Amino acid sequence: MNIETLRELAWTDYFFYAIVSPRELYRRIKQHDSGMLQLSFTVPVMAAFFDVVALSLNGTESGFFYHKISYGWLLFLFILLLKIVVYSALIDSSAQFFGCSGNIKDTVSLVNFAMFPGLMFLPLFYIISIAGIAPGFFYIFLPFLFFCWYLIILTLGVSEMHSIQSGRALALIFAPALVAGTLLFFTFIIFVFSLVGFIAG
Amino acid sequence: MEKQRKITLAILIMLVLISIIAVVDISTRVEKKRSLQAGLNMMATGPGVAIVRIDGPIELTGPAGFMGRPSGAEAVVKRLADIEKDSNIKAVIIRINSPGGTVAATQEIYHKIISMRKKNITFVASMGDIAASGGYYIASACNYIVANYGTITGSIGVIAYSPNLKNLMDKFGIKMNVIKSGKYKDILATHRDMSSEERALLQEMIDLSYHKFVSDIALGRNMNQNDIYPVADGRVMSTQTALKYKLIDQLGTFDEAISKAKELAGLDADAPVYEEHLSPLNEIFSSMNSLFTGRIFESRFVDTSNRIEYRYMQ
Repeated sequence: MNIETLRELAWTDYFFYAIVSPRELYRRIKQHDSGMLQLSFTVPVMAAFFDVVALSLNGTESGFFYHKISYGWLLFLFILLLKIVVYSALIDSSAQFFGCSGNIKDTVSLVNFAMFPGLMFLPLFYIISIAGIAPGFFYIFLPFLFFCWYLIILTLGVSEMHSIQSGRALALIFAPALVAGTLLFFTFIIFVFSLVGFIAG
Repeated sequence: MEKQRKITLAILIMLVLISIIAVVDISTRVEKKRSLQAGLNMMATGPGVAIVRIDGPIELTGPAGFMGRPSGAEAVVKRLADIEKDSNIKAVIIRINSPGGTVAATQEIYHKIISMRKKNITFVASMGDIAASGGYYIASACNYIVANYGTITGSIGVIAYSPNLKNLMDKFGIKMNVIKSGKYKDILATHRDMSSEERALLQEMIDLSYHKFVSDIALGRNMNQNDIYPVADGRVMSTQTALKYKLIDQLGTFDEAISKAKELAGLDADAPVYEEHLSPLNEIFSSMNSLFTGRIFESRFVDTSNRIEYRYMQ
């Protein structure tokens, strides 16, 4: 992606369609423009940073903020990238399991761009925290809304990707989430037992 | 199309700007709070009094804390060593709430205090609920002892004990197989009666520790040993009695002990007091450590080891 391409602003279409038309977003992804995959990763980079800033807005002011915004951001980003890769792979495997064709590269791009509306959380939460309108409540409630939006984009995008019904696309998305959730639950249980053992040891 | 792209670009720029503004805003608030805290900390610097707390039975190493944080007498000695390095500390309050403990652990703390006294650091002991036996031993190392009206003190003496379960084991037909390298190797064994030779051997050890106890009190309190022996028969006593026998210097509270320490060290009345602080994380894990291991009960209710102790048996 050179300067000329940047000036044309065609790359902004991905972000625009992520908000207004997920099906159109996937059609754009399918064109495989040069630099599209790299561009999609700007969303998780920003999302990790915004998450840290929102977390700091909700917490108490201390010098630890500088650690959060530097090392914390890198840690959040690393975890987020890991989640994206693992989750995209699971969606792709799930799609193949249900008889659809695999397309991991496009799935990763779709998962990345689907997170874009979630970036609006920071400006909204910033206003709420300045105004002091139940920030604790909105810190939980708004991400839930944005998560629903994320799911809608992902569902419509996957539906478009595999030319299947939205309901089936939703099942494709939820199947790996269910597997990942079960695994996480058991990992958590093992972690708690290990922690208790470590402290008691 | 062009307009739609420009709007999207504007949204992206807005997002970046807001994140920058938020970061600057948080940084400004953090710095404001930091400068405020720095202002408050400024009041708590300069020559002052440090607090060292000795709670519960004294052992050389207590339960290991979070991330290997030391506890027991070793932790107290370490805290004293840290204080020794700090030129701001002119006096130390040893707050004692202990029935005593093992001989070695008690002597470690006693000798550390005596060595620091030689470096012109003033020590004032402040007694809590109980400062008996080893607790009093440590207090005697201090320049001045302030005891509460209700403190139990005294119990100057040494004790070693083990249960004799011979009859019980005979009743249940339990026999012990003992293979030993020498006749005293199973001294204080619980499965048989103690022989007179063993008793004499242990009595000698107890007597040595006892005389060391009395001589150390005399050294720390600048008293004659003969003035201590009449009350050094293991009796516990009220602080009024202890004052009468000059085992303590004053009846008073913790605050009065702090004031006395400031006075003896030539500090101003508003000189800072430096408490020992655990990080919040350490506090949480220390309490969880006790919770998970059940060690909060261990020292009071479970004691199966055979030891020689400067300890008041409650």
